[in-house]
Amino acid sequence: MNDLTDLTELRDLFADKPHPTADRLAPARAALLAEARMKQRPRGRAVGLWRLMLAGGLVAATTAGVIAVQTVNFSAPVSAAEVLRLAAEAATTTPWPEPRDDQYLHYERIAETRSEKGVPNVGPRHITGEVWESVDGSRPELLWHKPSKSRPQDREYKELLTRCPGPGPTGVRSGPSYADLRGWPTDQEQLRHKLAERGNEMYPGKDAATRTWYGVRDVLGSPVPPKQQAAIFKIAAALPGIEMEELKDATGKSGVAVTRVDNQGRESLIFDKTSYVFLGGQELVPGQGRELWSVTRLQITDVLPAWSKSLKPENCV
Amino acid sequence: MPLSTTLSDAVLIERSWRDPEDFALLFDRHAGHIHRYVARRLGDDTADDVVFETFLAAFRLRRDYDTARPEALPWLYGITTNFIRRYQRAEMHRYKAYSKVGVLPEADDAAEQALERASAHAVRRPLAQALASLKARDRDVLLLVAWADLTYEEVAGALSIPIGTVRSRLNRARAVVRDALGSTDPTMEQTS
Repeated sequence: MNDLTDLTELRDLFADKPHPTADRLAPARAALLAEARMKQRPRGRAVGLWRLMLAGGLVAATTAGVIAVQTVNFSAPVSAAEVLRLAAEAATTTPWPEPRDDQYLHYERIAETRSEKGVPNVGPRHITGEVWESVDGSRPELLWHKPSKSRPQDREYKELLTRCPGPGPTGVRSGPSYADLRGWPTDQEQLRHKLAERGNEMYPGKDAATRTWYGVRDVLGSPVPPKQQAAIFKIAAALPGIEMEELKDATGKSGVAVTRVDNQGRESLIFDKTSYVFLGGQELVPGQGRELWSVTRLQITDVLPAWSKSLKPENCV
Repeated sequence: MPLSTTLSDAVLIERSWRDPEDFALLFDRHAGHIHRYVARRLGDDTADDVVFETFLAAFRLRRDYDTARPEALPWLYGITTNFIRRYQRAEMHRYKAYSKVGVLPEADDAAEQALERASAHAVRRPLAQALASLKARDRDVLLLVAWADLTYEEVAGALSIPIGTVRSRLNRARAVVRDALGSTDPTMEQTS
């Protein structure tokens, strides 16, 4: 079957439903106008409410980090490769109690999308979710998606996701668990091969450096053990086409970024300016917009929250 | 040329901050699309209610609209989706009824029923069954793409979810639809 046949068939389903007549819509229009006429004209234009709400959310999200970060006073780096070398050093010097396989990594994932001026439909969005990730992947992962601050009318939802043993329904294998990553080699050549393999699963057919970069970006989307994180940063430091810039992360924190540019756009890894701890990333597509993401408030916990017992596990993904 | 055809949605909404009645121009522009979409999911009568609820909610939220987005249709579909969820059981019942007898529950006229039965060929009934079996959030994404013609980015904006989530929900839903159509092709990767 052609890849798009299912959508074509679906588009035809009930497609004979006609557009409603003006008469049909008239009662709703009249009721809307009645509501509109009840409104008094405001004294001044109330601008920026959405943005104020967003800013409030960001402030709340950035308070009280859970894992203490050791501040290292490095002198200002002069290149992207140097930023990554400092980040590798920070990864192994920051205190981190290694979790047991039967525990969970509990963290907050923040994403924010901003469209470029004049670009339709890809409007600013701020999304926050809490994640409880089974360290060895043997237990269901709990996701708690919260309504956007700009869309308080949306419902939150919670789901328990199980890993598929092989490729999931999307045909793509689940990402490695934290315990899987702990077993990954720190030897540069072997790890580079692993990262390129992961990058190729998602975006086949790219050159070796691009595959490795995609693998780096994908793996860093969830917590990574310090030794492997350090080794990954060292590999990224040797990739061609990286450059250094200053960027804010998804929580609004100003950082130093390592950016790789290709014909698709600019992808960045963002680090704390002082400690060089990894903060998150940014994807920028020229002419369209950008998406920022961060993983914050990482902590280790033994059990899922009690309320998760009422959730039914979903099919594997 | 009248303002209602030359101004962007964003400008109309911004004007409605000062002159609330201008919001009716947005209704004139988009209510038909929203109604048809809802009617395909829930039937005409419920669509009347959902369209009213959608535009009333949109009107009350109009000051929160981000005017950097000239097109408001995805935003309206997002609000509509929230109201459609209130009728989830009725929607499933509708698809199930169609999958069994090839007639939608609201087709009360005998001639209309006969016409529907004739057009409900072998593919449409399993498709309706597949829609009934989907999780609500997967069905929302699938139908916003297939029936509302939104792009992945627009669906992400409408539902306030990351684009990656749009892709995974759509892939999950399409796997079910393909199963219903007797597909043997397991590859689901697609481009936006």
